Amino acid sequence: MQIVGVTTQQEIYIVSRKHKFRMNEILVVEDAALRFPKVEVVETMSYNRLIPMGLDKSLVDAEVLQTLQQIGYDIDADAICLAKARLYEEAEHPVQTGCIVRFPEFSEVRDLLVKVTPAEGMVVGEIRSTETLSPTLPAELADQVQVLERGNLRSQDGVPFIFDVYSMQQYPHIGVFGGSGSGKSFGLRVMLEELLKLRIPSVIFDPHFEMDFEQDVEGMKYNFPLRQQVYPVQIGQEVGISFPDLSVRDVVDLLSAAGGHLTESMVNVVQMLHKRKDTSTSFGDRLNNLVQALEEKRELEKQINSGSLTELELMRAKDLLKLLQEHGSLPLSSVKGVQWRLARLVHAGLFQHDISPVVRALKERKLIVVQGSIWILQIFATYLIGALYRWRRDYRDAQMNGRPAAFFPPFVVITDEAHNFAPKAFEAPTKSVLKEIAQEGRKYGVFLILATQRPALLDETITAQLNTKFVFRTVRGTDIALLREETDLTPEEGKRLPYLASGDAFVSSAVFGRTIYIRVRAAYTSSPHMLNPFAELDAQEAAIEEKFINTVQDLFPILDTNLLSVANHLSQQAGTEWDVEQVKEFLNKLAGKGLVERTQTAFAVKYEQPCVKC
Amino acid sequence: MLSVSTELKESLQRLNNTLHNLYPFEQLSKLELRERLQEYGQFLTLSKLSTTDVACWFEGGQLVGIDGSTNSIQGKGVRRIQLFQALAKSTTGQEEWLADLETSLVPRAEDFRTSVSLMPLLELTLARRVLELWSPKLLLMDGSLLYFFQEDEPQCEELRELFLAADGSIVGVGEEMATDALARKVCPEGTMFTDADLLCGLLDEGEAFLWGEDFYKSYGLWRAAARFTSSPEPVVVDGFLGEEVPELLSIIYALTPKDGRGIPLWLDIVDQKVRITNVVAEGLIDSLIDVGLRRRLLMTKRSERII
Repeated sequence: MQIVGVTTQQEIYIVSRKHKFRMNEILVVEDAALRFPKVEVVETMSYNRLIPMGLDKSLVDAEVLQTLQQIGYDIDADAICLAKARLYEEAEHPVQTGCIVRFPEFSEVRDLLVKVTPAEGMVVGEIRSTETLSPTLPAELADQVQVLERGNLRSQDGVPFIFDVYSMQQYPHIGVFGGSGSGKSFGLRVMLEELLKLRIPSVIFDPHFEMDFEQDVEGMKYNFPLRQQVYPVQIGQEVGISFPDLSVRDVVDLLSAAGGHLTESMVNVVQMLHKRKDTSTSFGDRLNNLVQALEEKRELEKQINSGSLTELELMRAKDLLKLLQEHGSLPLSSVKGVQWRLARLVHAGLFQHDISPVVRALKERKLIVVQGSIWILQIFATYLIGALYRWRRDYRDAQMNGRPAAFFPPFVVITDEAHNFAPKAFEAPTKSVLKEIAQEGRKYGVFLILATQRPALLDETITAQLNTKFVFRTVRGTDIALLREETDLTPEEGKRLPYLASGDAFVSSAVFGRTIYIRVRAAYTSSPHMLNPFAELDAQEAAIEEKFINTVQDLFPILDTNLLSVANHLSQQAGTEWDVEQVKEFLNKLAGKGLVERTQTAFAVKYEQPCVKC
Repeated sequence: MLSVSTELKESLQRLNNTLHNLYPFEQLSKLELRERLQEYGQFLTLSKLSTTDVACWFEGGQLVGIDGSTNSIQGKGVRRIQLFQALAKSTTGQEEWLADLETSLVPRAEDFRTSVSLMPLLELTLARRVLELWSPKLLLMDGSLLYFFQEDEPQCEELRELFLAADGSIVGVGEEMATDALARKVCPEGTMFTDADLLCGLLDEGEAFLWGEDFYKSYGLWRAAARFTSSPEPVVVDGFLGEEVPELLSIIYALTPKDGRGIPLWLDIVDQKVRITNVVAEGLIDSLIDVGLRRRLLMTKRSERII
């Protein structure tokens, strides 16, 4: 490999006959005057002068080339490989043309690629185009990851990419961007596995119900040992919001999250009616009573004065009247608006539990997976993140001021579809707390990992605070433009974004001070959604057929005159009702698939199991 | 009106008439010519060989091409440096290089050869070396063997001896046919046709004309003109007597791109590799001759023109 052509202080061209250059490959220039600068390949080309593209030259006769190949000529020997490479640090003067270029040894480039040992950081993947370094890789870095490539698992063949979590104090928060199918969710799973390994307390909001770590991936060198560290909870089942702990503001936030924007008048209703230490029931009752009172307004006084009410009814009517006198000015429609929103939250089971299980698990350094539909998740996340962040902040502040306080751990908040939690254009309940953590969180040791397929829709303040960005394949122009602006991706890398393979990503990190091209490692566990939904149809059908055949196994051969007893047998054994027609239809279907043999005898149709030998 | 002297016009008119007499192209009838040529040689129709046929013929042996290139850097007056480079390249990837230079800047050594120019000397030296080292199945020389004989007969004789001892074939392929022996026999007295004039457009694609053995017997060579491509101008192919000429021509036919100028692709590949372009020549001089010497000896006012 040799430098050719015009060089500058930043860029050189390298030519090689044998080595096929790869993007982002690191090379060393043997220019002693510049202290052997290191360069990174940013553009690659290959050219064969015998097969020119020029329109002015005729194409070389393929047949003659083939003949030459037959008598031993290797046409590839005349191909040359060219690479444009960029210096890591600007040189004092242009690099000398003609200098020899060589592959580095790992020790020469260690600082550019690895900052911590695998035990101390998140081993997220393998750095692309570092194959030539693997012979000189020290044992502590070798064989750390397995990589899934073209459907096959392979062992590490380069330098592992290790993200230094300790650096988050200086450069907080991580963004994970990429379109669907880009490997973004997969990358997130790998990061969670690594957080588990490091036992960093984390909370992930999982609207897709996909962050399940139960299933091991086959073929991995070792199984996932940290399953017990995962603590999945569902809103309304294990966790919820303790209503008495809520302030008026919290209630307003919650209700607005429950069903669109609250009008001024609805906010007023909440402010007037909510009392400290209210339970959801007491607050709900008050709302219901007021609705009743407002609806019956004139009737109430009449009823009280009529004297026809029992004592109990009279007490209630008087209560309603008192409520009416206090809050009669509130418009009925607004009160009703608040009422149905609250009912919706109650119905979702949000107030039946509290967040103490989450706090306990966090203190045990677990990964808490919070699952629920996106709207309830947003409401709960607002409350949960707000509460956890407050406790952590209070603890740190107390500690700083020398006051005694109970320990509350630092933690990481992770969400997929982050643009729903902190959208750019409009208000969302979670947005303000996420924004606060984005700006202030590092002081208190609270960090964010936000994944989204639409970075352009994510709140700008938050995007700007994500100091490390994993960028997977992205196709939309607006997203690419934003990513280019928010990262140190070069124009060339920007152009490559729509073509990245699934699982490949650019990591733009303040820690490294430049972009690193990686392939995410194979995860130890797999998502429960891995089966294709259409394949699911076939699998389901096959299961039913198998069950049917197993149930009627002993009844073969079956004659169509005897289907009634088969139907009865099935109904008893399978627990579902079968009638003769259904059984007949099912048998015919099985016969069509060749799973059962159907023969027409003189008297009846006979169904048999197909002979195994045939 | 252009101001041209009447004398010049009249001279040109006279020349036009003379050319008509010396080169009576209109009198060359294709059919008639072919008939007359048959008296002095034979027309061959070359067979179209398949890739496998060619591979069989080579029997695993290699094809070697030899070509040379020269370029010069002109200084003030007669001062110049001329660079020569020759390359033998085999289809199996082996290469042999030879290079030398000539310059009027230093006095010539006493034993300086005066009769032979450097280029054919280098190429023939390479050819001999390659025959000994690699024993190729087919050695293609850029330029006809006749030309090499005229330049350096002793080396050519040595080459013939090596050829007789070895198993392979040696063929020279030239773009230009500088002979006129055939034309002298076929054409009327007083005309000045060359062999190339006669044969241009006469051959069909895939056809060759083989001179009768008597023509170049003194050199021990056979000589043929062959049209391998659609271009009407044939190329000249020659070799040592004793070869199976039609078979050899068919092999070369198979090695030649049908849209090209009629030279086997392998020779073009070698040519491309050996060529000393102006950029290379200047680059070499610039980097290897010190700047002071270069400016004093090799820079011309001409080269400093700014437009």
